Amino acid sequence: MKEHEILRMIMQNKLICPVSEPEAYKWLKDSEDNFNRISNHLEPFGIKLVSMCDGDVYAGLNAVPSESDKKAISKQFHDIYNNIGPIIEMLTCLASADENNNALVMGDKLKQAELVLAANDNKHFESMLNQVSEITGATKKPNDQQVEALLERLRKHDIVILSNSAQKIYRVTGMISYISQIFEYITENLFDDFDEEAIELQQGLGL
Amino acid sequence: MSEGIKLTEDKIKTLGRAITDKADVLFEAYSPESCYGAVNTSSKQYKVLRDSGVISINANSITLGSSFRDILRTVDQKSYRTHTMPDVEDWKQNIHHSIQMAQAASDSFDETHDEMMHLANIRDEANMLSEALGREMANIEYIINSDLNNTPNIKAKRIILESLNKKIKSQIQKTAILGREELYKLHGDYTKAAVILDEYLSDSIVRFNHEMGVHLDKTILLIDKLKKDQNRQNKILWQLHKALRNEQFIPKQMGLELRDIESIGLAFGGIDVSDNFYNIELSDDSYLLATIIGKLASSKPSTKGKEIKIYEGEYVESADRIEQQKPSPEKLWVLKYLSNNNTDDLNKCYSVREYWQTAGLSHVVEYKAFLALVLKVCGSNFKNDHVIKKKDTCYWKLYLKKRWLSDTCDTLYITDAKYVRCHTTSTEPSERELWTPNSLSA
Repeated sequence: MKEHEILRMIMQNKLICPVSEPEAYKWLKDSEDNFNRISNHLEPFGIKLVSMCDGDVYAGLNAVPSESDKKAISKQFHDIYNNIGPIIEMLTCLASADENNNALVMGDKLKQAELVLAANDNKHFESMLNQVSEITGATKKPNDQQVEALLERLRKHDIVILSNSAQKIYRVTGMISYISQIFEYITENLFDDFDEEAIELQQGLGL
Repeated sequence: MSEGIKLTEDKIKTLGRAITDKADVLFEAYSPESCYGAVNTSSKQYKVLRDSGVISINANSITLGSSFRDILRTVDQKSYRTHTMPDVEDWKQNIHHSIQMAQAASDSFDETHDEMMHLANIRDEANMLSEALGREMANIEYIINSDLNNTPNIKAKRIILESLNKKIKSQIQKTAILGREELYKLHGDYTKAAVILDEYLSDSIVRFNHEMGVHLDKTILLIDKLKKDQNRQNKILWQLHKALRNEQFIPKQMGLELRDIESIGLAFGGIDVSDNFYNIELSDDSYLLATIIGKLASSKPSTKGKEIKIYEGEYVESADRIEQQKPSPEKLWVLKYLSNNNTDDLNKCYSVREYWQTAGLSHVVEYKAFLALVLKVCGSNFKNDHVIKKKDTCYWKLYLKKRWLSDTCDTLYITDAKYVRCHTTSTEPSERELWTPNSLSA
């Protein structure tokens, strides 16, 4: 892995995770020396290499930001945050396709063809898919198009990448870990109590 | 075991050499597809191999002797054992058999040699089992350290851990039949075997059981943690979903400042990089150029069109600029260089490269990046020398040292630059004067 490629990703404000940038991620993770080398390169520019989300992703952080830089960081966060409603809807929809209603996690594979079959077989998932079709712009479209639109929308949010275009297989990136941490923050700070029992009852009931 | 030696050294070595020299023939004879026929078998080595039972020489072919086939079978089994989980029951039976044989031989006055041979077998079996257990431990450690670490997906991690958990449990169960009591049942009061097993096997089994126990606990803890993580994520997602539906949570009502985002460990980026790339050959350092130019672009004064003011060694920025922000550390490097060269004595002027080498910048920034930084701050078009500022009879000019990459390639390769203060009343420095290495830096 060429160091300049990693530096370029960081300078472009990209998250480096084992799914989207496996080589770069491995290069940084496998050796403390490598991590330090990149950190040293970035230091003169006031940029810090940070490991986030329990080590799921690496990114650069402007450690001496100007006012406009500060705004850019906040904006980046708020762009995701302001879209959190649609993101929650889409992720819940995909969770309902899983027999255990499991939320997506980094590294999950999403096969478009299998999701279409699941939508045809699983009424709950199909109903959720219809509900998110307003977000994905696939209202009143057949299941296959709704699934495709959903995956494409997630791709635009960098939550998934298309890892095999021929077979339409998507993989969930480290962005999901970042989003999950936002979820945690919201849950811990906006809700007085975290009613686990009630949630267990709600899962899969087509709220 | 020296009692058993009946062959001379010479005979053993002759056999060994014959096997080595005829290794190709032995392989051909071993391969089921091939038939080694057309060969002159009259040489002495063939005779040695035939007399030792390694080969049989037939009318039209050579085949392996049954005793040599047995040796190859043993080699094959050993190879198989090194690649599969040790079948402890099988090993135990083999050891038991060898102990019985050795014990039987020890009861006979004539069979001392056979007893030693069987004791050697017990030692080899114990040794091999010990090695197999060691390999199994290494395998499990490999799965934990490599497979698990290289799997980003927690669901896949859980599958690996659950399978590992089963494997470890099964191994612990198997080695339970090799406990101290079980081993005692094998050798009873036959102390020779007891000593061998104690020396070659007991410690390995104790260590194996201990390590497996540790790994088992670890896998149980990890599986539990992964389950909890997944459950928590599920619950949070569904709770947020419910809150959204019930309008208990409206995302746009929430405002977070940068320090809040930083405090929750979710701040990243904020690096403003311009997309403009310049026609300068930088090979792998281009990221640095992009970075610096980007940072400069982002901190460029809003008073577009204003010139950089340089007076008497001081870089004076316009008042409104100062109010906005101080120059970045990178820009200060350049300003110091410009200040250093703000002299009428050309001999005291450094080129960019000379300054970079002598001012300690080589440790903090790539040369090409620094050069690009100077060019950018001085407002160069990356092609021509240009006057940066004029005042009275003075002017400040940036000279570029450049060459075309090749006759056919139109990439301009800027190798160095020099910031010089000149006077309208005197002639400009010649090429030779400009690029003669500075005596201070030489």
